Amino acid sequence: MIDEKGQVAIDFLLGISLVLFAISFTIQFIPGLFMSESAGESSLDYTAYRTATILVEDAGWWENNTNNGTDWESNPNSILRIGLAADDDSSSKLTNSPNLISKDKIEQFMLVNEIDLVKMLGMYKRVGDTNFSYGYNIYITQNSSNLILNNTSIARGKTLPDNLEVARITRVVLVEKETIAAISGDELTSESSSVATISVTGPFEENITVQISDLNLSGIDPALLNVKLDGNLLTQASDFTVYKKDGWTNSPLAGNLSSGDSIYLNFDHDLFTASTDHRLDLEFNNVTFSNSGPPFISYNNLSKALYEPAYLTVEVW
Amino acid sequence: MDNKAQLHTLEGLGAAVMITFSVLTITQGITMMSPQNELSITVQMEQISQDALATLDIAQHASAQYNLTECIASWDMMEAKYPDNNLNNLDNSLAYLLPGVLYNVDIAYFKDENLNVKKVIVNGAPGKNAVVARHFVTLTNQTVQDMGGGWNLDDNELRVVEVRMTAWKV
Repeated sequence: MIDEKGQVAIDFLLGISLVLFAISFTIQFIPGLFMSESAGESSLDYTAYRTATILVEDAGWWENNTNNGTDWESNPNSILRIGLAADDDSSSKLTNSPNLISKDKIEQFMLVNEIDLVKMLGMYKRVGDTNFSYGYNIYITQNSSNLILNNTSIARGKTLPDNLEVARITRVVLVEKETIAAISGDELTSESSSVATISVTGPFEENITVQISDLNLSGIDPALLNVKLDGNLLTQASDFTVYKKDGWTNSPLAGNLSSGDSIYLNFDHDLFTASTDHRLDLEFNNVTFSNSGPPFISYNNLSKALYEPAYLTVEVW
Repeated sequence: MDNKAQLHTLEGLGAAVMITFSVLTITQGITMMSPQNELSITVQMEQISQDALATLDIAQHASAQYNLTECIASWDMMEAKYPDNNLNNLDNSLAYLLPGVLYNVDIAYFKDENLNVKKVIVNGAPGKNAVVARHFVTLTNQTVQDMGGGWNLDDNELRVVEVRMTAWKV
């Protein structure tokens, strides 16, 4: 019987060892063969997280021999740090408004040269004495498309690679886009009954919004009848839109006003030509104004930033 | 001996190639979840949840009809029971900022030296990768009155309320 002799045939032993040798050779010889797509460089995650946090929560910093401040966008030659958060006090290094993104800072951010940007946001890895830059994309989206400010699409970076691991982090932010003047019914000035008049001085880069709250409604069916600019009737939808707020979204103003409503009028910025005083007349039905003019209340004196929700995404590879 | 031996060598090589390829096919075909990878997804979830509460808190009226404080002020003191939510203005605002994310919201506050934790938005049982984001708001009687809420505060009373959001992806 064959069983009475050695249990392992030498041929079988040889075959098995060959299999093992071949497998281990393959694994050793082709590095990265069994590394799956997602298990790679974890430092990318940190870089993406850090970059997004700096951009969203820091106001940046500039410094020269005599001065310093967070308003680096006005001093592009001495930038130390880039951050996009809006700041009302540029002398302190902290901001009270993380997640609020300043328009001026975004516009300057688009102009910073590539080498400085990579350096200041720390998007590189130091190996020996050499810095290797990461590939990156930084963009702001609103309603699933890129944010456009002053005719520029807000996105920096390169095309996403097909076969590399990409670390991505998205932050919810409020981005300054247009301007708004909030006016209460008591402050609105009027020359003739039921017509509120606002003076507006152009030009504007972006559309402007007038917010009117606490109107003094009287009689039945109070409503906004028409809007005139320098005596010319404006067309709804093409020249301006009227809406109310419903959560984050704008819902068109339909029908009459009810008490406690805030209404918003958004005007096309092309209507207002450079350095000219314009007269904006809002004609209402059954709304009374106690404040008579001229002089009329000025949009430009009251205007401040209007922030809209958007998503800032940083991709690093 | 030489007349027979070659076959085992070829079999061995063939088997090695087959095993290598089958293992390769499996590893390429599925997404491996490494611990780092899972961590980065959790971090993203946590970050975006905190952002949602923070942006809602600082939003001006022209951006959002009601900010976080006003949403909480409008609560009528009734707990939510699935599937009905009790704070629709907050629910709508969060749903807008966090598409594709499910969340429950609890609020916690001290009253008469007792800690009260109440459910205000219930969207189901959290998944196993759920994260919690917290944000504090301070209510005054003025805000509560303006929003028609049921908080019943004195005019000089401040009530600090913790908003706890448990968020997860489906």
